Amino acid sequence: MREENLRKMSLFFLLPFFVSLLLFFFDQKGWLLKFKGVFSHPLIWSSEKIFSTFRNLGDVQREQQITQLEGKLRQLAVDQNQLSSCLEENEKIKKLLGSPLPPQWHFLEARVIGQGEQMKIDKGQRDSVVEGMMVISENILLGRIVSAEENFSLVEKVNSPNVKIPVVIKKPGQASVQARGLLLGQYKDKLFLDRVLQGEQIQKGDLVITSGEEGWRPDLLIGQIEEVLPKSAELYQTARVSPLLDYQKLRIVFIVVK
Amino acid sequence: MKTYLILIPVFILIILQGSILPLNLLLVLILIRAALKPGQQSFYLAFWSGLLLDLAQGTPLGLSSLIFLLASLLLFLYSKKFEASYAPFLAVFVFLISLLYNQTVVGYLGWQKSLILSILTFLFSFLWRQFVVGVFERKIKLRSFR
Repeated sequence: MREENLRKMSLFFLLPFFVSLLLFFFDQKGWLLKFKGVFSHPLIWSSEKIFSTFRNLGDVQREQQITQLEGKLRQLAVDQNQLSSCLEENEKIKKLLGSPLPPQWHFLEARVIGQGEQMKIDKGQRDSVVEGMMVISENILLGRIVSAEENFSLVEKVNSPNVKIPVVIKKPGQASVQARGLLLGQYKDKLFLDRVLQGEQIQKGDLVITSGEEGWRPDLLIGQIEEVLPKSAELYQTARVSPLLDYQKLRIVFIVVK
Repeated sequence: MKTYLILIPVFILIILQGSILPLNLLLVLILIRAALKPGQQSFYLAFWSGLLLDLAQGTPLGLSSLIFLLASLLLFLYSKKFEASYAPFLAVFVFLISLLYNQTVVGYLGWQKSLILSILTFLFSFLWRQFVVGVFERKIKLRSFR
């Protein structure tokens, strides 16, 4: 009885076993391609549906990840911006330290927070800024503080029409003064050199430097002669001067506090 | 419990394994079924499940059936003399068959997956014995007292 049972079970096993073997053999020969195509279609369709649902769930997670990463990216951009500001500040300070300015001068760093007819900087009375202080970048004169508020100050730039600066003209790389004159501001980043005696030699490329009179500190660069205007019958020569800096692009400046 | 109810998890697992499931839970299901209820139905279940799994996974047709059938046969023969649903034995058996399956079908042993399957098998068969079989035994004892 028991052996009979075992034989019966063997048959139950052997039949599907040989069918499987045959199917495997036919499949290896490539004879079941059509059969497989027809029968696997519903299974693969269901599998695809499940997979796409699962992938969509994954997409939601990915979107969340993207949002988080975007946030981190923004934070990095902010950090990078701060870093580049620090770098720029550092460069400016290095240049300022390397410039031939009197060692007894003290500087206060300020950020440009507005550019109109007058430049607005982020230092005011709270930082001991008072009217009349010079504002420079490296050793180039930018202007003078005309209004000091609690938190900010307004700087009248050297190209302002109100500004008249006594200057000296020097050749680049030379210490001797070529000529003396009066620098007049004009809007649109233009400067005009006047009151240069006809007998004095000025030419294109000469440096225009503050003479230190009328409350302006001495030896600060302002610009370079761009063009000497044709001589006229007048007593003085005139010239067009181009500033050494683009005032609109300034972000960090220094106030000469002492 | 109706025997054909086993087809529901079988179909679900076939579709899941054909799409997203990396573990061969169908193998576990078939072997546990074969261990708990060895016999004719287990062979047919192994055969058809293997075929459908091959169709869903795109593996050579009949290969999974052959492995499932051989494993079911071994369990059947073992159950003639020993207790095939004994949890530690079944866990080791599933681990070995899973290694064989991976090596034959996928081309690598994948022992980590086999180990996971083995642990799952152990837990399931242990819990099955503790709760389901335990409840039945208690009922039978109560009936015999009456």
